[in-house]
Amino acid sequence: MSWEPTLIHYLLLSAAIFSIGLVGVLVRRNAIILFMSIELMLNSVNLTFIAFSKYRFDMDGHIFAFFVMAVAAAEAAVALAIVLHVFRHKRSVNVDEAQQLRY
Amino acid sequence: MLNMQLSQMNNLAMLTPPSAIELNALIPGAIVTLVAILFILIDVFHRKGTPRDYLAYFSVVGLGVAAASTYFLWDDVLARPVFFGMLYFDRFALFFAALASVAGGLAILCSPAFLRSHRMDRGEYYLLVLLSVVGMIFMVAAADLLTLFVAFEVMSIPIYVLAGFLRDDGRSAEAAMKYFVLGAFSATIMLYGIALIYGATGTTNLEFIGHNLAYLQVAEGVHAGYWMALVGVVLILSGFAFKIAAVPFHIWAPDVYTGSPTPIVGFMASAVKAIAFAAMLRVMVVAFSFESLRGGFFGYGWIDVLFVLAGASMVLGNLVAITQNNVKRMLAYSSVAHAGYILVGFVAANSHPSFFLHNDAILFYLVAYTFGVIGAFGVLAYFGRRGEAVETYEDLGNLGFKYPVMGLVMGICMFSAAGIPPTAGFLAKLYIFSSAVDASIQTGEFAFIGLVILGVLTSVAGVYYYLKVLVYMYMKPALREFRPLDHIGPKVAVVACAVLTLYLGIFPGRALELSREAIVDFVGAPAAVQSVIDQANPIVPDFAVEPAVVAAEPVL
Repeated sequence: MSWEPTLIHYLLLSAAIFSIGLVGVLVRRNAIILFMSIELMLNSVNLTFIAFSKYRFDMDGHIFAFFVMAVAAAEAAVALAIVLHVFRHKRSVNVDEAQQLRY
Repeated sequence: MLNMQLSQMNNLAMLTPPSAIELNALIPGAIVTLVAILFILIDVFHRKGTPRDYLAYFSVVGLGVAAASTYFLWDDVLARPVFFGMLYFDRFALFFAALASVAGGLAILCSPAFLRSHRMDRGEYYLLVLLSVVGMIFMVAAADLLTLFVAFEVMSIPIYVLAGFLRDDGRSAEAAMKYFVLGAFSATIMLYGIALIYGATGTTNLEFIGHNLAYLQVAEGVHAGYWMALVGVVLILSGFAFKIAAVPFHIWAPDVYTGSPTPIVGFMASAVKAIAFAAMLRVMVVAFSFESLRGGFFGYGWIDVLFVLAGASMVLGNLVAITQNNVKRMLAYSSVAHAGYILVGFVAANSHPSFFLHNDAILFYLVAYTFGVIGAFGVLAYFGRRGEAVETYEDLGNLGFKYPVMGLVMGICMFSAAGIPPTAGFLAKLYIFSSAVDASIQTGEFAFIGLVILGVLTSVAGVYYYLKVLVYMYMKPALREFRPLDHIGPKVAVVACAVLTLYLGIFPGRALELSREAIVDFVGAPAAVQSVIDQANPIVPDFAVEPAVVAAEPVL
């Protein structure tokens, strides 16, 4: 019995990955893990784009995925610099300790 | 079958051959980009230990030229998308390109002495502001979700960096981290929305999304693709709501505004918000404005979502601002409240195609708000010397008498923010609320009147904390001495802001005319809106008429 993944399977997979990333952003407290979760979400979006693109025989989604990758790379560069910046001041990358600005 | 029809339609329209005239669309953005590239070259030859003021003046001149170029391009606009349906070149885009350039220039003028006192006199600062302005210019011109997303990130990423620019300040680092995490998070959610829209409609072009969504509904009733698009619209909307800091997407604003370099906060609060509103207007009107998706007065469309956001932003922004003791935090919550006022106009003007022209009130409000807020943050930057900056109300004691010009500017900006005549803020609020009342009377729906009443009541509450600034500046004793950053830049910038705020409040005619022209020349609107635009603008000028060229044989 042969089985082929169809559009709906790709969409479910990417929705699951997106949700995992979303939960990661909400519950994890380490800034690096937060950024990793955001990257996970971005990549699940890429999977959605490619799945739809393949399904519709349309190249727009493929191209979009490339742009998303480029933007994700730029974001990662900025993210790591900011985390380093925070670490230099607080000796920690735990976002719960970033409380200087409240009230 | 459906897919084939749709993709064929897309391909045909995309094949309109580009002509050299389309290059005009790039001029404002290209000028700013060119200045940014020259900047990198000039900065290499900078002699160490000398001030970098000339870089600030250079970038202000560059941004000024970009803003001036929109004046010369005002009559060269095209009534169709350019570059294979990737950008619009209309007066709406030019209007906001000029606004973004001017806001960037004013923010840069406030910066040099501020940066020197923080020992961060670096060329990168001005470069990042310029690149952010480039992103803004292309974001309002975007005719495709791809250009929109890329421009959105080109606008945002430099501002994440600028928020954390004060390297020796732990609070700046914290602000950058908070802004980045939440900003990247919301951008990703918006991107997922774009992916769902692409899946539902098979295209990322705004106009085709509009056609295809309407077609999907007519052809197949409400089916899975339609629901997917609905989720996509909500996700895209939340991305915009984050950038305009509307409740409940405002959590980042107070912290980021407090920690970031003060001139950048002025830029963030004015230009980023204005551009996000403009791009939201474009996306919502062009792609998502057919009836069942739009909703309106609890028909459960995006108008209803924004309706709730508007009310919540006005109430929460104003009430929480009252309790603040830090002036920058107060201004952050006040910017949340202003997002609410603008959303009132947005909701009313887009609740039905026939009110589309009321959007000019939003444009006028954004201009008035931009000058008011940059003026206020410019004054704070002037008293922003490292280690002895004005933070709380008490710090403002007696500043008004000691520094009369700054006191006067702050007074005008606060009056404008509170909506007291004869400032621009008063007229802006008047136009916004009267457009909402007009919409309410014409449709017989009293929901918008309710929103207006809420807006007027909350802006009365707002008067309390805006005037509190003046009470401290003029009626309370000074607690400590300040050494203001004696530099020509912030003085020129804040005086210009105050003069413009007063000018727009007394002679609003020209600015209103410009915002009217910008909204009448809004390209890409669906047929229902377009007919309203055509009624306001019956004579189609020659330059707008270009024969639609259709390729002889479909490619692919």
